[in-house]
Amino acid sequence: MGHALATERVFDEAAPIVARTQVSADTVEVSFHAPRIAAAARPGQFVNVLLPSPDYGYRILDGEEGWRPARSFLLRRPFSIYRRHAAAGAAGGAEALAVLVKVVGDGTRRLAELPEGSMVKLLGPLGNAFRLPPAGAAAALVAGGCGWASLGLLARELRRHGHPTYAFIGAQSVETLPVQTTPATAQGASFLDELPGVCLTSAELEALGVVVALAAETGGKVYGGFVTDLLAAFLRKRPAATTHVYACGPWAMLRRVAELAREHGVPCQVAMEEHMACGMGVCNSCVVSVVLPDGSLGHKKLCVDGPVLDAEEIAWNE
Amino acid sequence: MSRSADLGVDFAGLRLRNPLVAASGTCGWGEELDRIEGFSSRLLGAIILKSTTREPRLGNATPRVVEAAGGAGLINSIGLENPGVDVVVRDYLPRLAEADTVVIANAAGNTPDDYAATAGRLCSSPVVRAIEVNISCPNVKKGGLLFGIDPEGAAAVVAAVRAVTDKPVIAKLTPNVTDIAPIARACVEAGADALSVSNTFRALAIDVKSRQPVLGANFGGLSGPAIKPLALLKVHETWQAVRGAGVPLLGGGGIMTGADLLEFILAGASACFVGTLLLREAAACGRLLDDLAALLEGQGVPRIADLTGALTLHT
Repeated sequence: MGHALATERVFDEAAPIVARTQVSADTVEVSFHAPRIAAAARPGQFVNVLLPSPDYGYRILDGEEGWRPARSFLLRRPFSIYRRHAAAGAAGGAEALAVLVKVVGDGTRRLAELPEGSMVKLLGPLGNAFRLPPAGAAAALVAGGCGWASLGLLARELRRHGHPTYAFIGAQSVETLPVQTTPATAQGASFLDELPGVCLTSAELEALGVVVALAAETGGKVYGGFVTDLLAAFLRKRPAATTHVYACGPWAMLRRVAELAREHGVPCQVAMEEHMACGMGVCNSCVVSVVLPDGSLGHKKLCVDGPVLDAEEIAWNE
Repeated sequence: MSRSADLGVDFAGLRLRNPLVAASGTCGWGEELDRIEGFSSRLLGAIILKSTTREPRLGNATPRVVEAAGGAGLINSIGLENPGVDVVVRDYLPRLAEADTVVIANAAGNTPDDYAATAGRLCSSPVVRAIEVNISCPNVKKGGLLFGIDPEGAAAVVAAVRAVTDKPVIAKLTPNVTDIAPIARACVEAGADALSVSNTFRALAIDVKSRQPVLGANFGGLSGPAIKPLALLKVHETWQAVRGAGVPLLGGGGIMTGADLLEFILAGASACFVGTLLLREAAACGRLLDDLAALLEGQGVPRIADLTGALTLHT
């Protein structure tokens, strides 16, 4: 295993930030002008972002926020390619790409706060990609928090190929959902009849023809509970053989998604994450345990063998 | 950019086109980084492949890496994950038959016998021009560092590898000792043709919320700019210890720029490795070499090889 090396070209593009959009309380969509990576990117792939690092130690005064540590960033940070779009004035084709940045530490905070025009370096496109289902099959996308970032391109690609597409997106609270919410029109989500109280949706996704159901653990104007409850309700109503499941989110959520897919006999691909350094398959940091064909345990490197894995190959109990 | 300074170096009988070497564990099995536009292993004087053991190893628990020291350092604890020497010799080395750089393999093990068996297999490949012996991995319970912190243990491993190959043997030393000189001398007396100085510094990162170490294996090895001044001193101390024996040093630790590399040359290195830099920005290697050449030209130095150990101490 593992000696089939990836051969796809990887670009290290100096990329200016061309747009920033606050998506939720803790998540910003950041767009970069990176035409070569944007043109080559496929759903599920990611970029490794090198942040500007002008200084070490403590800055003396940092604007309105007063004293706070400023720091450099030695390693790149991996982000799923969430969207591709033509930059303003571009003749056509993908010129820019966007990532969803949820602030979890110093690096994500720096990236979330960088103003338009700031330069970063993007290494990519990295990793493998989601495989589309057979013609006509439906797709159920299940996202936990900013795991939605790795499913955004996939939703568009599925709709472009005419697949009936369902997006189940969950977060801790309504305020931290990784999509902008609008009042629901109650179209299409008949499988949710048994889950009352759902009255927010994503207008952007519905405009693509995606059926949307949102969940928040603390409740609100969305389903109050786990996003996996929505998938369970959906799979009970759908003819299982024609549905493919795609998921990204925390480990426990993915494990539950994999269980549900197995119970209903539907194929399931998951995008996973792990602490990563190089993104190129040389440092062996981002490994996940898998069950090899002979039944023994092995590792896959999420940066090159993933981030997309078949749910069935993952050693969920390791 | 054409360079008028001669960056070529002779290193333990190998001719390197320049002194920049990819460190073991940061250039995979020699090909992976070549996918990056703007990087090619042809740019480098040599590449050192990932540590290889007799049997396959799965390595340590994740997380295996964490940034540290305010973004100046990287702590890793990979734990020598590799597919074992049989797979490396059968599947990986033949792919490097056309490599346009000097390929150096790296062997690790639990016993001197392990090291010798692995090194012998690796050196049987015509692709492999020299063998680096990892007696300094901080992230495994057996072998590794236990040999590297003790002159007798280090010598036993080097002698065992020396006995199975005529190719240059490079002992990779640990900095996690009070005095590196006796270990360096012991390796040279046991037959090492060159010394790598050094591996990572043992380190710990703590998650204050969970009150647990960040890394799955608890402890790891620190690399990156945070260790450069520490590693420079180790290189200089090693140079002082073995310069009379004519054994060249491969120096490094936190090199990010041409000026960084030149500091290691002045401290006593004949060639230098970069590791963390390759994980951060492999495409920076060309710029580093251009900067190095410009530095030499600015000083009117025609050959970098003339500067090894040229550090002048204050009297």
